[in-house]
Amino acid sequence: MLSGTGNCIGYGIGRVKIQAGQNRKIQKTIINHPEAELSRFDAAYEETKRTVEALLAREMEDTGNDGEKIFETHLAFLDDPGFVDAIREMISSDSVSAEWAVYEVGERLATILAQVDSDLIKERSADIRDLYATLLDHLAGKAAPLGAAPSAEAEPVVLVMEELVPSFVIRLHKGEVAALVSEKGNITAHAAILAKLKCIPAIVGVNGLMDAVQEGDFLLADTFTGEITVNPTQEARAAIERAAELYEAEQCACNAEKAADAVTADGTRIWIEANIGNPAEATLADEACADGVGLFRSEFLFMDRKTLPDEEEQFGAYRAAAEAMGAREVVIRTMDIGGDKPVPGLNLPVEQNPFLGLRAIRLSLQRKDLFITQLRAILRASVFGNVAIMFPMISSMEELHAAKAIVEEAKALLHADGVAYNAKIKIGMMVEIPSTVTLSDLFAHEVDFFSIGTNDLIQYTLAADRLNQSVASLYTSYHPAVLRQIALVAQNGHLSGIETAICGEAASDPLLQPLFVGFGIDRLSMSPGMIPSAKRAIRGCRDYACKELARRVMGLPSAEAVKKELLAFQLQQRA
Amino acid sequence: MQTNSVIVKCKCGLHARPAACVMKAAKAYQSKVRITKGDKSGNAKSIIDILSINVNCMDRVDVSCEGEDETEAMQAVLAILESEIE
Repeated sequence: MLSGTGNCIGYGIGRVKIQAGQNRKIQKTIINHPEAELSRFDAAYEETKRTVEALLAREMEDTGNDGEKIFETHLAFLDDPGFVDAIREMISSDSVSAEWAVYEVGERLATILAQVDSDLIKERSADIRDLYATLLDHLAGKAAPLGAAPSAEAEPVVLVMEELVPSFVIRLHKGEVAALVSEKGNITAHAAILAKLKCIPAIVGVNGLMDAVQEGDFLLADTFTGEITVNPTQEARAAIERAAELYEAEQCACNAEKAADAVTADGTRIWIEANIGNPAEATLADEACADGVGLFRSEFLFMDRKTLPDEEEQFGAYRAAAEAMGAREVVIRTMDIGGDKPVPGLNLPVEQNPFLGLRAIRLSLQRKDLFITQLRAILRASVFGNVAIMFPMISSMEELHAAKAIVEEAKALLHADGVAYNAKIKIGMMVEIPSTVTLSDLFAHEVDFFSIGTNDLIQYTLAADRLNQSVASLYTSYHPAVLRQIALVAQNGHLSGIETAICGEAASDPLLQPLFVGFGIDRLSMSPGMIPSAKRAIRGCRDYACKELARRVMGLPSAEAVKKELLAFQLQQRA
Repeated sequence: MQTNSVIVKCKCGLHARPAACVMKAAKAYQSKVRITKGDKSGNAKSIIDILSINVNCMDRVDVSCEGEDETEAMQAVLAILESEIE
């Protein structure tokens, strides 16, 4: 089966249309009058520049004024003497056609960029190819009219192409094509990002695509799995069509009611919150009508850079997130560095078992200077909204006590400096190590809330490295040992009158959500995009039915049996 | 000719947008402007040259300017390299 990376925007069903002009063959042609050829090129160049400027204007309209504009880069390439002068030079000194010079120089530059050791820069080679293709179109006098979308088709079409390019995607609107599928590219390419913004289903990086499909083939694209089926059986087609219908209906319904609270049919409120990594994502959380931020992964402020963020910079980020959420709570998890999240600015030694090594709170306690800086920044931000602190990777009571003592120290420092902070700031802890689960009755007296990090809890409980593909089959959130621990933590939390949240991937799993309600989990935190559907799912639950489900699941012996039970429950709910 | 060695502060290094700014600044002057990092060197008036040098945040680069307006050109280019533009 063909597969690539999908953008998780539903399903595409339709006839294949091969997008022409992608795989063009340019012949080397010797010409007699270089001057005439140069003026032909100059005319095409001016036309191209006008086209790109118009596309930039359209991009501004579509996506607002913020951030980097894709066609700004196109314009810069067009202004680059290394591009234009090299083409003109080649035409006049080698007496070759403008087409050949454009193709040669364009390919050469695209290849240079593709070899740079930086993903951000590598992806720009697609932009150069896009640009020289536009130049070639103008040279051939068959450029698409400005801003024109591909002509409307009677039947839905799946556009298949060698490489998805921005200037093509920008012309499309949602609904004009069933899906975009390309052989090359990855999901972080400009074109793929544009497709996502425009809510067009797309799958990129499909190896062997161009050889496997032909114009007129019938094609199914599942952007969740990245799988593509060519000329499917009746059953396969019906299954995807049904899934697509459900998805569409679900999306509409979820978005229409996203502002409504997640309250079960019999009145239990579940807080559906967002996981974010930077303040900009707080805006997404707000748009998704999140009930708060259940997890601000502060370590993302430390990664992909060579220096550490200072107190001012961190304060700015925490404050922005707090202000974006207003009265709703923002839980800032202190840095969870180490493990799969290395930080260049710290120069930490490479460890044999990073997941069992010096990471998260262990590092913070050892590097008190960094910890105090971060805590001061969080405390200062706490007067600009509803901010709480959370410690990651607590494995023993001593660690929790030490961390809490340092919070008091940071408060005293701010007090001495005469800086405002919320003296009653809530302090919570991640529960992600089995030792903490076992002692959760005792920990519950010491903190204001629990948040279960299922990703790590699963790997530590099942002794399965979550980044190791060869043990991936062992790693499952349906394992009864994992689920019993979650239930125990929620129970111990309630006995002491504190709330328990779940902030791992499992929180957004629609199969597990009713079970978590049954366990008495109070909050679920997930990526902003999943929030509307989670809220809707909770509203469809009944507390007593979920409790019944929880009782049944607690007696099951295996992950397989649990999953079967959960699937049966879901079917029963829908019926 | 003037030369200067600076630490690049642009937050994500010289990717497309900052590189375009550097190019724009350099092109405003007649002087030849080059950026060098280690064994890689390029014309600052070419975004493709700048991108291929692959400059990250906090990398040290050498800038050289040669021409009648080299002082002004140097100032303009350094101003961008040392800004925290994203």
